[in-house]
Amino acid sequence: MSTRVAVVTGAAGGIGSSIVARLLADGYAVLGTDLRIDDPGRERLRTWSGDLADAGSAAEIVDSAVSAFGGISVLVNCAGVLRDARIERMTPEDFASVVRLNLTAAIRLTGAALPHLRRCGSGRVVSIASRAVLGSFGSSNYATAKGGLLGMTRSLALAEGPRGITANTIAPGFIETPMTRHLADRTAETIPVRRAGVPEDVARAVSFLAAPEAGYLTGQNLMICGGRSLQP
Amino acid sequence: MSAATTLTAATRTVVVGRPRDGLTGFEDDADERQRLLVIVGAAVDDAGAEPDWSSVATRTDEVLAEIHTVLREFVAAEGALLADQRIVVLADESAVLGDPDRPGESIVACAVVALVRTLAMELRRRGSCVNLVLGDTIHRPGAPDAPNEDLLTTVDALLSCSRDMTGQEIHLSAASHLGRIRP
Repeated sequence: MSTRVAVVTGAAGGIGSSIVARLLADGYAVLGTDLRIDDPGRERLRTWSGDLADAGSAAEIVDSAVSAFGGISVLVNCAGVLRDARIERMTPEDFASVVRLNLTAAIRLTGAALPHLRRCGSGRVVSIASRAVLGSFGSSNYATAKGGLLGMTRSLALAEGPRGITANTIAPGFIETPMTRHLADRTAETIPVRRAGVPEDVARAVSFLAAPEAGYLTGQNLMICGGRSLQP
Repeated sequence: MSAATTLTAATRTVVVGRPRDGLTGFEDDADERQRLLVIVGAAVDDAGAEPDWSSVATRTDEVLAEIHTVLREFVAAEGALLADQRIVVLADESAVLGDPDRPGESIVACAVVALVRTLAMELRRRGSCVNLVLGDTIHRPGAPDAPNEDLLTTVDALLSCSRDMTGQEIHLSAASHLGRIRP
């Protein structure tokens, strides 16, 4: 495996597709996964369509990446979903569905990818968390799941550091995507840098953390929020 | 605290997972609607040379759902959102700072941090307070299971605190957490 290989979940979404594009531009071979994602038939890009929350999907995804490209050097846990409600109105199903996709699917996939990340010698796990880890009104399910990603990242960083693997999280603030575009102008006024984030802001950080040269940076949570996390 | 531990006021006490021996004696008033203590012990049981990540995921899923259900049912008992409640969650300090040998416990502990912050935001308009105390809640071989009077004192104080004391994380670690990044 001479080319570095990245697996990116949530690859059809606004942030995920930007990460895929950035890693392709960086020279990676990429397996992008999503519930529904087209296969563009490009040489260094493969796709896997299916429900990441299914317990068996982790092994399938890892097998797909290894059979297509010969290994895995970078895992980007980007798949996510929101089901907002205040706690008294949040159904157990809404809590469970968000935790299963945002957190436990990432745990399973990370565990399944670990043997290959170790073999690579400079494996990277980058998980997309959220500013919600600081607390997020109406999103107790989402905040819980993203907080859990921080715990996984810290433990991985400590356990896998001797094997050359780094683990980090990125916590985006407001990012303008097709799903959030209607809120962008109003939200931008409340952000210190006076603009909404764009998916490329996150993708650039993933590119940095995924690089073999970033081997001294591990166990960290990088806030990409235009300074919003400094405000009351 | 191996014997029944008395808090100043009647408290609903719920234990999730297996706390260390010294933390099993809190009295539980099942009918209490104003004060809740949630003790998160060893919830995933993933200590070992190589975690079974699939089991960690499954157990994490179950434990977080259990914690969320306890909190939801307490703040919305009988369908009404109650006011002026005091909720304290007690979780493991070593796990929250990252434990290479027990990733599942770290996942749960860090998830609880974000959950407590969120509930503090959601409930503050009702005058309710939600706080997190981080201490030794998980038995670790070789570590003493000595009673921790500071822990009892802190929990007790937070269960009777003013409305301004909410969304806090208190590390009972004799400063061993200093120099490490908190989640």
